[in-house]
Amino acid sequence: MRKGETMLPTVVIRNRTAASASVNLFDPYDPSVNATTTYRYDITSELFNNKDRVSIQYKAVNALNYSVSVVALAASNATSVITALNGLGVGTFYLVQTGGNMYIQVQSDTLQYNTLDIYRQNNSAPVFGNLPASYRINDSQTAQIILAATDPDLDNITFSVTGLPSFCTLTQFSFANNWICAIEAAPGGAADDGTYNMAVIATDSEGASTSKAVSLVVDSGSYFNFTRPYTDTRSIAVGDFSQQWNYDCGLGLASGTTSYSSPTLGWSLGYLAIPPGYVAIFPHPIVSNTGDHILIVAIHNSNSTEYQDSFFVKITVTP
Amino acid sequence: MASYTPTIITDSTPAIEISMAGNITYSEFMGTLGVDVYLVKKIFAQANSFQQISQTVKYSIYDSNGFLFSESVALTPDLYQFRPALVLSEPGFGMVLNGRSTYNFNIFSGERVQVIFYAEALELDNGLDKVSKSNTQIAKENDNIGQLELYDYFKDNL
Repeated sequence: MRKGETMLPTVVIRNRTAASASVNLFDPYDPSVNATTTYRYDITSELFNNKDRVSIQYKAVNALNYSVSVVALAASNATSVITALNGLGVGTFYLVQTGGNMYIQVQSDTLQYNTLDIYRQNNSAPVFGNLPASYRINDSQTAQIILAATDPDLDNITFSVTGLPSFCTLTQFSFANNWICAIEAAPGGAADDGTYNMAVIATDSEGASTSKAVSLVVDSGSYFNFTRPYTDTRSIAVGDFSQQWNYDCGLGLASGTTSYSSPTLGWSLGYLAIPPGYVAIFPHPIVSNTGDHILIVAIHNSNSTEYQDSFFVKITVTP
Repeated sequence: MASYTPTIITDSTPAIEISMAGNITYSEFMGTLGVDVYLVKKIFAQANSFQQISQTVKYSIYDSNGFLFSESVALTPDLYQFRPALVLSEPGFGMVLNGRSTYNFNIFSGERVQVIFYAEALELDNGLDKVSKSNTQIAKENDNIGQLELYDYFKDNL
């Protein structure tokens, strides 16, 4: 029955958080409103370092609504929100702490909270790509050793080398999260003949590092040697299957006696061939290849597992 | 990977707090919805900033079949208020508060929003009593409830 028009009591909504929030007025199942139970896990800078990866596992039984969120106490902090789940949920996120403290907050409309475990995963060290690290070069030629690394946390990487011979120089390149270390060797003749053992160290911006052993043999033999410069930049349009890029490798060995390394940095847009005296790249870019690619080619004689020279090409595939 | 068990802190201050003026609490009022339903005739909203008050409002309601209906609510500025305020006269559709409907909007950090609903109250249990006494009332009751366009939860059960 109608009771006539009336003015309902004034509803006052307050947001006490440091971020905007969505309010569902008159929704009895909104766990963020007047939650009676809040489990709060303070994260202090002493316990969680910047860019720590946090894995959170939680379980709610018969909870109508359940939410887990990372709440920033300071406006400068980035925030992440894990999708609310009813039941067993697992989420992983990066905690980016730029100042002040943060906390992980669990709110539930019921008291069916069971477990909430937070796992802390420290910063991950860079990872070297599967590129060759055993080289043999001629003592009067300039050759190049190329290594590549990526960082799981997308940190910047800096390369350094221990045991670097005096005739070698280290150059660093970066393409998105592909970090390339190029060691250029320019021995001065028979006086530099010998075996050199080096360690290339990739260190991320958080201080974690990974080492990779590199061996270099210098003697008077005849080996492959790419024509300088060792880096190249190419651009090609999607659907252009007509191009062939040749890179002179010096020796004119018969076909079938040479080999090259498998490209390791997402090469999927064509194929390589090694006619006598040069390496030929036949790009076949399709729509899904649009963007930048790094192709690293290292070459060795099929009679030996020691590589003799390498180079890389940055290929931009345009729509 | 190290496992870390932090200290649990029970936060007594809710992040989002909703209260109602007068003697009735928000949770008590929520408990009456469903028994009492309200057909909203007019809305008055006030906040500290124009950015807050001009947020889009979305009204949603589930019908008896579980289907969700949503309507955007457009409020107009009330120029005679000291603080930023908006008024909506006659929503233009059957905006019902019945425990199965929500009035959704974003609230900025630190904001305080007041909303006043002018509504027509309908006490459904009284209506059901009358229906039980005389089946001839069914059509009449349906007509009454039928004014609440989106509200057909009880309509199916009469």
